[in-house]
Amino acid sequence: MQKYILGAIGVILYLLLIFVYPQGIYKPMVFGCIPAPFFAWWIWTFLFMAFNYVVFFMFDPYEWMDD
Amino acid sequence: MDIVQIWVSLILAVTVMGYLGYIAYRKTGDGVEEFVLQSRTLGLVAGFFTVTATLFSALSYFGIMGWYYSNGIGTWVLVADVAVLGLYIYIFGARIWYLSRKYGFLSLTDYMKDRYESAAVSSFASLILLTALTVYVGAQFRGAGITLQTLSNNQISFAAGAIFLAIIVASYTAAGGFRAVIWTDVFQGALMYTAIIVVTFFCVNMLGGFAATMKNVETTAPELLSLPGKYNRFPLPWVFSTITIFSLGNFVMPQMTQRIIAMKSRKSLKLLGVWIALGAVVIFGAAFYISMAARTCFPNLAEPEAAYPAMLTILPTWLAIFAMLGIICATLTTCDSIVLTISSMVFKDFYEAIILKNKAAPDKMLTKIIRFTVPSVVILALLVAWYGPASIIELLVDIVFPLTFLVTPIYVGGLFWKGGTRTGALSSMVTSVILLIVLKLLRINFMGIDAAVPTFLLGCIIFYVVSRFTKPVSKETIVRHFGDFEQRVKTIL
Repeated sequence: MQKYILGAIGVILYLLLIFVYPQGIYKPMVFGCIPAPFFAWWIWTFLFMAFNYVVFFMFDPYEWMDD
Repeated sequence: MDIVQIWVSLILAVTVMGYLGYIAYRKTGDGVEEFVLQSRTLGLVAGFFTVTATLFSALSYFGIMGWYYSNGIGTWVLVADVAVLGLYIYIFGARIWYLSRKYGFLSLTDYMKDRYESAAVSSFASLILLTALTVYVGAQFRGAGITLQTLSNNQISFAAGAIFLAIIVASYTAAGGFRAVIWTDVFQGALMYTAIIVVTFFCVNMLGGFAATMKNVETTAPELLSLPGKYNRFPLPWVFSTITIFSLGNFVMPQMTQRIIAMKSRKSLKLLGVWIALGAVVIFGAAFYISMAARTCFPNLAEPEAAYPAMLTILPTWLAIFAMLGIICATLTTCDSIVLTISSMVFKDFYEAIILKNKAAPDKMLTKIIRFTVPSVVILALLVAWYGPASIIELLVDIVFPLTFLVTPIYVGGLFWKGGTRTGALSSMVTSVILLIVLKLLRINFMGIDAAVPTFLLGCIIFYVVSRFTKPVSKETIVRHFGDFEQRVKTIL
């Protein structure tokens, strides 16, 4: 079950790009200097890094390799 | 900038790298594995620097900044691919890492030869990758040439700059092998990160801070801050296809595989997969603000890829020199990695596989082959720098990554699917390469999606269908490549 849940989270995260891709909009400037779509990308990137961390360390498929 | 200052700083930097290369040469032991993989002892910190420094090349300083400058924030798509690449580095990479340690594979194509029991498969894959990588090195030399020409106000010609750096790369790579490449990558990578961060703050401060810089752009060119960008350059289908192509293309790059299989532990590989995106955030985040500053200071540059060198001309001399060294380092780190990778592929996939008819060559031959290969690659790359497409990013987006992407079905398919056969792999590569060339020449894409994506899908289908109806590889090979995984993996895949 874990693999399906993680797979689904990965796909949703990937598709989240559609929602962080607000075409034609750059306001508000986050912190006065980061255009909104640019900020959304930062968040997306950090979410993806967190996802990678969870998969690698909490659901490691290759744990047996250390044996 | 004064030409004497440029040459003195270049020579100083080259001396440091030469010294590092010399120490690495002294510490390099005997054997091919030591020369091309540092005996598989690459740690996390060195791994992070060498992988990110190899990824962020002249493309980051010229192509990316040129795109930010002319098309706006949609350029970040090339960063998103690095986060996805991190996932592949562990999920796919751990398999090749494990198999390489167990069976002694030295490169991606070395693995393919064993997996498909075919030197033809590895040699053809090598041919595709060598073509892509030679173009990649050519793009780096062009970046280096542009930098020195612009900063010296044409006192150093494009040709002199490119040739100087080509000679430096060829020298220390041929002398010290992988260890020299890694040591110099750590030095160059640290310098590259420091330089771009310092330059960013300096450029932005000159214009009154981050908010003032963005206010200027908002007033003069708001389309650069919006999506899908000026002239609809970044439509969503293109964004998805580019993330897919670049993340898989980067993973399949032989120099990436070389670093994955050289990692000393699985934990280091995991952490590399997580943290690699941070490097992209720093480099490409800084590139955005420098480009926006360039847009304010030089709003009408005829050549967008000159945005960064143009900004350097208004910085204090000490900082401009520091920044120039950052660019040169980014260029060198990518070139040295690729040149070494190409050399080891030529040695294994052409010299041993074809000339020696699959017999192992003595270790001492490696040095001779490398001495022959390195200058040859460098000369070909210089020809690309002179006669290739005008834009660095076009070289990479249109040629390098689509080509490497086409090897993905047989690489990743070979790792996860037992049914892949020699004929299936060859058919997939030959058909998809021909189709890609035709589509690119005719400039055909599908609903905004790059031609490489349908070509890749066709390659997957051909690989699967042909493999189903052709002679499978031997049971012994299947057991060697999949036995451990089937018995022991608590798989989530």
